[in-house]
Amino acid sequence: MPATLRRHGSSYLFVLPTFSFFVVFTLLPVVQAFALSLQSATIVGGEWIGLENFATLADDPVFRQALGNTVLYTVVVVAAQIVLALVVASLIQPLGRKNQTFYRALFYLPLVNSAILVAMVWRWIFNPNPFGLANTALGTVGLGPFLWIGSSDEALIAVILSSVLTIPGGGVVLYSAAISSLPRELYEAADVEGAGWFTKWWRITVPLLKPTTLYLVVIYTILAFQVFERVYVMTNGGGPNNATITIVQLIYSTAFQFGRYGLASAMAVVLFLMAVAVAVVQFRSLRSDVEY
Amino acid sequence: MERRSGTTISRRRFLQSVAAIGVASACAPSGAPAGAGPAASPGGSAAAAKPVSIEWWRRNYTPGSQNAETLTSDGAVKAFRERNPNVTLSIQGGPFGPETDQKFDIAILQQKAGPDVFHTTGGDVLKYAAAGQLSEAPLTDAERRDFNPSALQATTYKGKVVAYPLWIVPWFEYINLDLFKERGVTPPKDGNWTYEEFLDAAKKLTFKRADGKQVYGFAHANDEFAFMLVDGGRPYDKDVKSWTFNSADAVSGLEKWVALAREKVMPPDFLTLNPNDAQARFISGDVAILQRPSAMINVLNADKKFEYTKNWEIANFPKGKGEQTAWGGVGFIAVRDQQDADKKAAAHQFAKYLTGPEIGPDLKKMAPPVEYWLAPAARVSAAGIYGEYHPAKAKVAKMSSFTYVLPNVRTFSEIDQKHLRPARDAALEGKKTPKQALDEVATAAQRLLDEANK
Amino acid sequence: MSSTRSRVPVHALLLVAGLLSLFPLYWLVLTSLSPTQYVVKVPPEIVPRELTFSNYQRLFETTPIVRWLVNTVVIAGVITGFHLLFDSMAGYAFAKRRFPGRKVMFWLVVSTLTVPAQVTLIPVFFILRTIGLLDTYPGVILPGLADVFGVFLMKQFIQTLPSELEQAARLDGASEWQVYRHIILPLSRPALAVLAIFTFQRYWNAFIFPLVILRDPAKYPVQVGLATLQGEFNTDFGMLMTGAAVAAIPMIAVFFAFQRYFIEGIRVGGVKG
Repeated sequence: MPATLRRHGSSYLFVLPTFSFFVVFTLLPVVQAFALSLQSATIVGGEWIGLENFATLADDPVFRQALGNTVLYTVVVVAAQIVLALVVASLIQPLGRKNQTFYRALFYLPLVNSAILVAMVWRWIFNPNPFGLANTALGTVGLGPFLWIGSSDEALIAVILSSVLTIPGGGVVLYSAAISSLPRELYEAADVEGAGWFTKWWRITVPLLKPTTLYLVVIYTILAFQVFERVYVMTNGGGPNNATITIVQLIYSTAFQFGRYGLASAMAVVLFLMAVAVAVVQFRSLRSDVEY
Repeated sequence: MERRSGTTISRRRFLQSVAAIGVASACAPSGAPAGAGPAASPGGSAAAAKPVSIEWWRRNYTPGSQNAETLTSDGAVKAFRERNPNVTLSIQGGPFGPETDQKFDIAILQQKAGPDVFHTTGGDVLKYAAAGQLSEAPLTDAERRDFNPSALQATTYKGKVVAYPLWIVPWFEYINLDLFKERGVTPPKDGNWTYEEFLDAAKKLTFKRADGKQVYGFAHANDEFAFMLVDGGRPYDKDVKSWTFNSADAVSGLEKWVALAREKVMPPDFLTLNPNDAQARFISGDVAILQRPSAMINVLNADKKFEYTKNWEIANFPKGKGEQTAWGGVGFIAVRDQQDADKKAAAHQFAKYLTGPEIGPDLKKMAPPVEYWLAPAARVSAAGIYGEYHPAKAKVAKMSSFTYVLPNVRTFSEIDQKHLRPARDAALEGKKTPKQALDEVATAAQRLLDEANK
Repeated sequence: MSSTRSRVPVHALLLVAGLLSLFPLYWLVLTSLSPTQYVVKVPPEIVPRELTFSNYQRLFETTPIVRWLVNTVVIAGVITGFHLLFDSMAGYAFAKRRFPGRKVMFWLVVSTLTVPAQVTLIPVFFILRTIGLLDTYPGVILPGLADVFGVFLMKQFIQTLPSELEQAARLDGASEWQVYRHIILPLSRPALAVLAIFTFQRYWNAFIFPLVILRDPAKYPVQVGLATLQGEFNTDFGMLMTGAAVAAIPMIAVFFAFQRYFIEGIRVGGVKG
């Protein structure tokens, strides 16, 4: 008995530092913020109004627009990022140590910039004028010019493209580190059986990378659900006719510009429920007890 | 983002004013107020002998930098201290942008602590007043009459004047005289033109050069509604109880605006131009007529390519069916309501100075001189000096008489961003008719207006 | 592995993809080297006509960029250091130890990742005020230790380490701390390297939070400092991009410092005690 208690005691101690900070600076604020969602907290006062904020949201076409935009963005961008990161990391692996270092650096480098400044550059790339960079590039093969961020029909596409056209350096680095840790014996055994490169990749590498994939899918999904600064800078807020408005953008303006903290918190609760539901599904599908 | 108080950077002044920075007294970088210390010679205006220290919050003030906000703030503090040596001032700034606004909001609205006196713009005034955080301005009747009436009305909350109007920033047209000459278009005489003349000019000024570069007649930044005022349309009725921006006049104003888009006299990204972009297009000769506030005057003056009356001029807003009008924004100085009576009194004194007729000449006399007014003052007695800085500014100063300043409605930010702007975009893109777009906004706008009036 | 197959197409593909992704960075550096100030050239030039270092000169002469960089190194460095320790400890416990409440705690931690920072900003501000840490370095650093994405990362990685190693060590009488210190940590070097790089970068680019918490401009980290170069109607783009280029250098340095730890892996079958 005492041994078991001692065993668990040490586990709690291991978790204690992180968890203490977490409780004070994340959990408590989140609980406070969620409590606000049940109040009409505005600048001129607040009172408990139960689920009324959520009813308001259900009727709000702008919130629905934000939901739709955010979900579309997330689905497309996360899929693209996972595939790109995995493929690139897999391509780098067999190239030898020096090349690996070079390519990891090459793909990581774009991340060193502040996201806001990068978004400014993408704004220039998708400028609607014929001299906009994307239009110029497409013009050389006879396509375009497109209105990109200048049109309520195309603005969201421009935003999605800006995220998809960058190889996700973080994912490349992570997958690359993980692939380096994979044991060689499995591949040697597969070689002996005459397996081709695709089979080896699909049947050995990808399944063994499930823990990494799960991490990236969950994190990328959460980040995509929270997309804000990029869209804000590229499309001056919500874009023409609210075409690119996102959930966090709406939370931000509802709280800090319109002063409706209760309503904004309700939006955060909706976002939370949605993202957690998705994360549960992701954990279930990518579950693995892989050890190597 | 609808910041409307005009702020500019004057290149000449930077280089001249570097010395002034080093000399400026009360620039304690930390938030804690510096200790009081009476100077040698007492100032002219009546000052309480008791030493008191107050904190001033000025957006975009960055100690040691060269931007206009920093230069004018340091100058103001120095000049005020000469008149009131018992008052010590510390300035707190923050980079321009919504995050700093947030920071100010948190301090003022949530913490109910913060600056003793601060600089703010239209929407914020009512936000803070509604939270009971602003101290009523003790104005005499003479002083009241001195202020521009619509600016004063914009700062009145439930019958009390809760902030001092600082300046009124009019929007008007900048015209590129070189392009006008090239296309044989006569610039408007005395800056006056009707909408039809304006549209005609814009059409003639939209052309493609031999080398393929496209020039457009007109552009504006995406934070305006000026054209909707042209035929007399106004967002509210006189008592600010009814939303009227879907009246026939407002609709016809929007139709005039949509016509510009239809005639393609505006560049394809006209819906996305933020102020910096819009400016860039004019300076690179892409756009012949640009609708911007007075801030751009300093930028043009600093650019060697642009000589006033030779390469560029300013013109009034085109005239529609209504009277001549211009769209304008207002900046305010507000004083926080607090327990410490001495601090509050000193803050009011400083605020009066910042918005009054003495500060302009005081700063002009400094060595090197500082251009305090970044836009025409909201007080008649203080308005003259802005015109003295530059002939273009003299023209701008005359626009105050017909500049329409949006009455302050606490919920306007929400009406604007959530409903009005998307509707405007939809109309300009041709997806909805102007009448349709504006009617759809009306219900939500009225509801929000009622909420603000509660 | 087939070494005779030509690698050229792979290299070509990777290079093109990498260079395209680098385009925004290239643009940034280009603007910093161009004599632009308030206005970005229209139309923009991809191949520059004029290069000048005047922006860099102005940046170092007229802004406290060095101070900003030092501040940021301190803040990001301290946070990263603590994360390496705390996250690996917690990640080990979640991955390998079966203790009551483990699932609940883990889900609590991961689910709150979905709440955007804007929502917790004001409550955190008031907590810091209550503790009296507003406008201080600890006030910026401590909330950074509550960030849990690193715990998640370490858990996923440590999960894949074979249990035999720790079990062997325990049979030999090692305490939990010794298992963690001598078995788990060394084997986790690749993940720790990634964690260091990601964490450092995250806090290097922190903006909203330090801006709201700090009042003293002498404490500003670099992103807040660079924001002061933006005006309402006029932004000094040249200096802004230059500042961003300069700010990128320490992060690149951190990357190269840590990335060599990726190479390590373990070999199954060689259970070294």
